[in-house]
Amino acid sequence: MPHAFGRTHFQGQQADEEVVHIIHRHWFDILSHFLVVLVLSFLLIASLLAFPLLFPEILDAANTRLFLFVENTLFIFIWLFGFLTWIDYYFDVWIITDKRIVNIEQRGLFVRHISELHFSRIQDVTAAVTGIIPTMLNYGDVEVQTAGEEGRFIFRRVPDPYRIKDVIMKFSQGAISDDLRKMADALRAGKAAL
Amino acid sequence: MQSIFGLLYTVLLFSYVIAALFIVFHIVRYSLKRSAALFGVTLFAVVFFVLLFTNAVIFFSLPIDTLFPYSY
Repeated sequence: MPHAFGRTHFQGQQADEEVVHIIHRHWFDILSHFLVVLVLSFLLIASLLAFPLLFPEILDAANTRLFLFVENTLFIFIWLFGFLTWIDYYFDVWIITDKRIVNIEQRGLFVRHISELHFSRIQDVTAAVTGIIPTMLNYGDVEVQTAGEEGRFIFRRVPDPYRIKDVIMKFSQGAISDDLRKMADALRAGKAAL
Repeated sequence: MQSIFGLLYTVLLFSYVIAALFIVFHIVRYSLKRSAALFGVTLFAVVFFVLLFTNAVIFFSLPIDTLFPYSY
């Protein structure tokens, strides 16, 4: 289905379904992965500047080209690796809509799992922030306990877990109220028919 | 000697291009916003193309026989 340029849309979204929240892992989680990319980039730039000073033979025409070729090849490798890391982070996402929670789990390029949970199935929601850095940066896990066979639904290392817990609880209570109202309506309709 | 290096370089180039195509596919297919997809693909593709182009230019200007004079 075509969707507006700046509007959020995900695969499997229903026509009357509104996205309420999109939750990625906390930025600190990707920072540790991106640190490798940053350190490699820094080393590469430093070597580009320092090697000709340390090894003047690099300045020979043929050696210069070989040196630049190696540096350029490593830059391509880092560029690809950086984007692979970013894909792993950015497409690993939890989407809260007005009807359900969708968990899209991306691992590298070739592993992608999508699972969903309707609010009416939720029994309990807990948020946990454990450790010094998570406490300071306010990120942690949100665990959603379900009534059915789905078991648990865990949002790992997400920012502001307590607010996410409140949002899920609010939608869950709304869904349960809707279900009760429908049951009451059905009972009333049944009595009226008798 | 030059043909062996040429062959190895073609394999390297091919793997880079395949990896780049997979990355572009993921950004286009799975982005939650089209604006984010467009930005991501443009940024990735422009830098990747510039790096790849300069890489190829540098490789084909390498004097391989001068760099490896004792190889057969």
